[in-house]
Amino acid sequence: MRLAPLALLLALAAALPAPAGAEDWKAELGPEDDAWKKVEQTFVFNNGAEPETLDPQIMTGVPEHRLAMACFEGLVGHHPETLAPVPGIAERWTVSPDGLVYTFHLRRSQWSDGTPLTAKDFLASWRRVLEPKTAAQYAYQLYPVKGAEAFNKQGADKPDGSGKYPPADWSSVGVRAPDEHTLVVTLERPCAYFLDLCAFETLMPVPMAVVEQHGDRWTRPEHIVCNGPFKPVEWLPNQRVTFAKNPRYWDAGYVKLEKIVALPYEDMETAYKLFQQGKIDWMDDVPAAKIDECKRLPEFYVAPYFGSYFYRFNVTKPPFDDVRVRRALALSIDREVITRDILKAGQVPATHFVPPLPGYQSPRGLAYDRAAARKLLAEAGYPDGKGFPKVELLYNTLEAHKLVAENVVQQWRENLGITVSLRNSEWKVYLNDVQHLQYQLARAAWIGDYLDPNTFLDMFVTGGGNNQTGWSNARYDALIAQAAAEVDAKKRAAVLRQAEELLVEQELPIIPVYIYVKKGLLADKVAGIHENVRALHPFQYIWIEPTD
Amino acid sequence: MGRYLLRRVIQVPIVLWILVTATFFLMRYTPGGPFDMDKQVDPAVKAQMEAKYNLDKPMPVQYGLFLWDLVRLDLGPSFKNKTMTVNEIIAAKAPASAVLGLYAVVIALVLGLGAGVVAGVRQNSVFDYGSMTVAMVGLAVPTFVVGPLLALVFGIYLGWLPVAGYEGMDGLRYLVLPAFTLALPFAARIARLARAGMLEVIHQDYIRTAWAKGLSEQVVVLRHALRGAMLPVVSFLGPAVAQILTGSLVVEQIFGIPGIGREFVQGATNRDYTLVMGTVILFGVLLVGFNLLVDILYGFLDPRIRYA
Repeated sequence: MRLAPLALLLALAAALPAPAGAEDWKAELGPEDDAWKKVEQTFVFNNGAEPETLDPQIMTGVPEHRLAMACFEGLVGHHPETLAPVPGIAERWTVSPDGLVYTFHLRRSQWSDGTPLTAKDFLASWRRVLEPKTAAQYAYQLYPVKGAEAFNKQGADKPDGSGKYPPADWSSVGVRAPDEHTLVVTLERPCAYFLDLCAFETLMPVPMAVVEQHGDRWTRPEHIVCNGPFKPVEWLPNQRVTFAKNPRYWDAGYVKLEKIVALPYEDMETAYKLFQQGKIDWMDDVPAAKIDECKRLPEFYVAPYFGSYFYRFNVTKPPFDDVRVRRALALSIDREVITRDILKAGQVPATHFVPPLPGYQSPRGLAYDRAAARKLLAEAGYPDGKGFPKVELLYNTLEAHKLVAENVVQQWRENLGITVSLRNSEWKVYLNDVQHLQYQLARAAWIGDYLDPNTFLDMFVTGGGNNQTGWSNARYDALIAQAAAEVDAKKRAAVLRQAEELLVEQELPIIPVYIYVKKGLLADKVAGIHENVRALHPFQYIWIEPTD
Repeated sequence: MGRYLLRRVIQVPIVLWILVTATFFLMRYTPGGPFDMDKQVDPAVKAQMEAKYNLDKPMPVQYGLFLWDLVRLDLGPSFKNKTMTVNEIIAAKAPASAVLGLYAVVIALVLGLGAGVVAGVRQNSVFDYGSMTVAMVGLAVPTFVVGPLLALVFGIYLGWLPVAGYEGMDGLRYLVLPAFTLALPFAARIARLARAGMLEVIHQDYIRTAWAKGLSEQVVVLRHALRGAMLPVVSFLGPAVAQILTGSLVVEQIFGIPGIGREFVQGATNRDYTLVMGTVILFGVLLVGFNLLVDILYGFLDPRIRYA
C-alpha cells in the first residue's frame, strides 16, 4: 500500500495508520491468539430503532448507518480507533497538489453475487445519488464534486434568486473511470474532508442492476447484493435483522464474526433487561433513570461524542438583537451544575461549540462569570434585570431537555434577575417553529456529519438552512469561505478557529452548553470495539473472546 | 332485524369516509411535514422528496389521489420506512398485535367476568371488597408501571419468562407477560361493569321468580342473571376489543413486540401521512365492525330489544 503523503497531510491532520507494511495495523488490532476460534462468533446488539432502509444512499440515521457499515464498503473505510481514512475498495489513492483531483486505484473485488465491482459501479451509484428522482436527502455529501450540486438541482431555482440551475448534464460532473479499476474525481474546490466523505454511506456503491430490477425493495434480504464484510440474511420488521459473514468480501479472511443480530428496541429499559439476562452483547445507550446504577457496572463505558447541545437566540427581535444581552445570558450559566447534577453521565460542560477534534483547538468561549454578566445586562439597559421583557425558551418535549431548561432558567433568575418562561412543543412543531424563527430562545443540538470543524461551523453562515437564528455576519461568512479554499491544514484550522471565536466569544447567536457523550454497556467477551469520537465501530474489527 | 342490519352496514362506508377525510386534512394541516428534519433539507432536495410522494400537488388533487388509491385498497408507500408500503407494514405488524390482543382479551374476560360476577352475587363480602380493590388498582396503575414490574419479577428475579422479544404464535412464553399487562386494565373495567350489571339484575323480579322456583344458585346466576349482567360488559367490549387488537405502544415497547400500536404513534410523530391513514383505517374498520357485532349480540342477550 502506498499512501500519498502530501495528499494525506493536506487531507487530515488526524493521526494516521503507520504507512509501514501493508495492513500491519489491521493485524495489530486483531486478537493476540487463536482462543477466539473456539467460541461462537455471534454478536447481538441493540441498534435502538427499526432501520428505515438498508439502502446506503437513501438512509439518514445512525441505526441505518451502522448496518450500512456491515453490508457495504466505500472507496475508503474508517480506522476503528483514529477514524482516519483507510483503504477500502480503493487500495490506494493520490491527490493532486492543488487538492482538486483525487485518483482512486480500486482493488479487484466483487459483489456478494460474484459479479466484479469496478469503477463503473461507483459512477453509476454516484449518479443515482444525484438524480433528482432518487430524492436522496444526503445528496449534498457529493456536492464537493465538480458539477454535482448543479446536476442534483437541475432546473431548480437558485437560493440567491439568480435564476435557475442548468438542465441535467452528466458529462459536466467531475467523475471519470478511465479504466475498470481507476476512478478520477475532480472537486469543485479543495475539500479537506473529502476522503472522510468517501467513507460515508451516501458514497458507497450500490448494485445498479439489482436496484433497477427490484426498485425500492432491492435491499430486502431475498434480493440484496452487497460488497461489505456481511450480508443481511433475515429481516423481521421490528424484531431483528440478521447478517451473515460475506465470503466474497475482499478481506473476508480478516473478518472474525460469523453472525450479527441487530435488535430494534427503542426502550432502553427493555434493552437493559436483555443485557442483564445476557441476551445482548452491546447497547449504545442506557436507561436515563438508571444512569447511576449503570455507572457502577463494569460493562459501562462513556466517551465524548461528536455532538453539541446548545441554545439558539432569535437575534432578529428584541431583546436578543442586542449582543450584550446574548453575552450576559451566556456568561451566567454554570454548566458544571447541569452536567454534574442533572445529566450525570459524564457530558462535558462546554463554552465552545465544536467538540474536541484532532488537529483543531476550539477557543475558550465565555466562562461562567456572574459579575461580568450583570454588568453587561445593566449596560444593555436592564440593571438587575429590571425592565427585561417577558421571554420564552422553547424546547422539544423530552424530560431531559426540560430538566436542563429549568435549571438554566433558574440560574438566569438568580444571577441576572430575569424571568424566562418555558414552552415545550412536539418534535415536528418545534422544528417548524425554529425554522421559521417563531421563538425567542430555543434548545438545539448538532451532530457532526464528517470529521472536521466545518461540519459545525458552516451552519451559521448567512442564510444557511441550519442557521435558524437570523444571525448574519459578513466577517464570519468570509472566514468560512476562506477556510474552504485553504489547502494548508494548519492555516485552515486557524481560520476556522477565528470563526468559532466570533461565534462563541463575541457574537453569541448561540449559547453552547455541553458536548454529548456516548454511553452504553458492552459485554466483557466482546473485543475490537474502540473508543472514538464518532462512535463508529466497523464490524469487521469485532470478535468474541472466550469467557471463563 | 334484517333491515336494521342492512342500514347499519350501509352506514359503515359513510362513517369510514368521514373518518379518513377528517384524518387526512388534520394530518396535512398539522405543523411540520414528513421531511422536516433537525438537519434542514436543502429546498431543492426537499422539493424532490415531496415530488416523489406527490406532496407537491394541490391539496384537492392529493386527496383525490388518496381516495382513488384507497378504493383500490392501496394505502401507498410509507414516507419513513423506505422499503415497505403501508399495506406491507400493516400485514407485517398487525398479526403480532392481533395474537397478543387475542390472548389479552381472553385473560381480561376470564379474570374480569369471574371476579365481577362473584363480587356481584356476594355483594359486600370480603371477596367483593377484595376484588374491587384489586380492580381499582388495576385501573389506576398505568401499564408502563405494571409491565416493567412484571418483567422484573418474573423475568429478571425469578427467571421464569423472557423479558422481551417475540417469536410468533408459537413463542407463547414471550406473550405471557405482555398479554397480562395489556389485559389488566381491561379486566378491571370488565370486573366493575360485570359487578354493576349483576347487582342490577339480581334484584329483578324474574330472578326472584327463579329463586322461588327452587333453582340452584348455579343455575340462577349462570343461566338467568349472567345474560342480563353481560349487557354493560358487551357494550364495553366492542370498542375495547378493537383497541386491544390494534396494539398498545407502551406494551409493545416494554416487551419488544413488533406490533401495529407503535406504527400508529410513530406515524403521527413522523408525519408519515400514509401510515397514519392506514392505521386509522384499520382501527376504524375494527371499531365499526365490533360495534356492529355488539348491537347484534344485544338482541340475543336481551330479548326486550327489538330492531325496528
